Amino acid sequence: LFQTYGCLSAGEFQFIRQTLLVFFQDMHIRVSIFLKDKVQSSNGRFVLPISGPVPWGTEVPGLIRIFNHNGDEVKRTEFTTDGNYVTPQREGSFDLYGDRVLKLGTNMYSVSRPVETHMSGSAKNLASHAKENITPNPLAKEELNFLARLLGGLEVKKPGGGETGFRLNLFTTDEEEEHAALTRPEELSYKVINIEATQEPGRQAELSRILGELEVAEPRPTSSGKGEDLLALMDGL
Amino acid sequence: LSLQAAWCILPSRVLLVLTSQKGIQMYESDGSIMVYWHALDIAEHPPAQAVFARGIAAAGGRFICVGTSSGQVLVFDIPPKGTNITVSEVLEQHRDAITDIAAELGQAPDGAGDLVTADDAGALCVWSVGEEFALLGKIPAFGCTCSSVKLWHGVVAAGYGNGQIRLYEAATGLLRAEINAHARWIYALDLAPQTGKLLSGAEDSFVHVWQLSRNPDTDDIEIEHSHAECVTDTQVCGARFCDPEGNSFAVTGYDLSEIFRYGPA
Repeated sequence: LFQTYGCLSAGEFQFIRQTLLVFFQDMHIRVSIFLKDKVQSSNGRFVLPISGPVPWGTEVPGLIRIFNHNGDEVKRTEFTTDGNYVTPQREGSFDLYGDRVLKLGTNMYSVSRPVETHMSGSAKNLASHAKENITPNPLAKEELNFLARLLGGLEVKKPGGGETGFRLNLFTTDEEEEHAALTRPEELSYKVINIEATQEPGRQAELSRILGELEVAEPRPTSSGKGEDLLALMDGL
Repeated sequence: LSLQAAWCILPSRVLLVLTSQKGIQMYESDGSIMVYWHALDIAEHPPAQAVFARGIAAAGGRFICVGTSSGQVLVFDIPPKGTNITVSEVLEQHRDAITDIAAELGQAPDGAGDLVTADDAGALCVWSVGEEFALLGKIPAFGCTCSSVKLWHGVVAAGYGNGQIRLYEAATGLLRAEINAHARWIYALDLAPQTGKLLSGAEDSFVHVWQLSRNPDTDDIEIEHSHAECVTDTQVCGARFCDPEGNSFAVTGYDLSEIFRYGPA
């Protein structure tokens, strides 16, 4: 990677970027995480903010400097625009490990986000435009696994020591939960309710007993299909 | 893949010039006939590097200059009519891919040159145009790609990838003005030759209009900000004045099927 791209000039990188942009031109596929983060607007176009830090090596727009034929600065003027740019704090690191400063290239899914429970008004329009990319929610698999465990149908191998992926949070984000725990007034009693949702041997016995009571008194020795059983059942009435 | 298109206005004819990764095409002004095709020489370029032509300008009332990704500038000699177009010269002063070429749009003061060429590294060359082109001077790079360039009354206006516009004296190469104009890569510069208005468009979604002038007493080059437009959520890729006075201008953007035209209220 470093060998191929490390020596490219800014102009060459811009050419790569332009080629990629040409490739993606006219594709207005909406991606749910982009829409949620307000990075993409509902018509599929990406949001270009006119505020925030400028790239390293770029100056915040506004200053005009005039020089005379001796190279001395003789005048300074400023202009203003709607933009609200600021200088970047520092340059990102190009080493194998280091503070990149930017969020570009990081995983959007690793940031905790509140779950939206309502659809925006443009939901109807989405269906008629280009198809929406439905990225699988990583929690969905865990939720299904948990349900399966509750029903007793799935043996889940617990990784050594750690929790298996699913825990209930009554707040919208983990940060809120932690914050609430920190700011909770002392005088409120601290009651922890343990909800055991896993299969206990005792409960298992109880359920088995109930199940046993439900069994049919005279099971048919030969059952040649659902239709036969049903007929037999009806005969028994 | 076509990269650029430009009208080349010569006294005898107008040609439409298209550049791409394959080569250079020249058409009659109504687009009906291709009068010339020049294939790019792959051998001139180092292996595993992009090959393309970029930067188009008509110069000296007789030539059309086109830049290449190898840094060469091809000079085509254009007859008043017909298809007998030949390569009269190859200019080899740039070591990096050519980004833009501009011919003098006004009256050049003595020694100021007729043509400016710019490259990926940010270096600029000033030339006098003729049977043989002569290099008059070089303006060194300062570490940033010069993406677009214009030449007017001996003033070089250069737009850079870091959002700066710089004005240089063409005759001496001296820096006369530095403007922190944009927050992102400047894609387009245009100049209205009758008024000295300068138009800049960049990836930050802004288009600015500036007013260039010369102070008659000090001979200093001056520039003022005139007007700004924000094309919301659009990376501006092209910006051109629609008339020689610069009363109105048109803007194009990435992934935009419309051309926006701005004019006086």
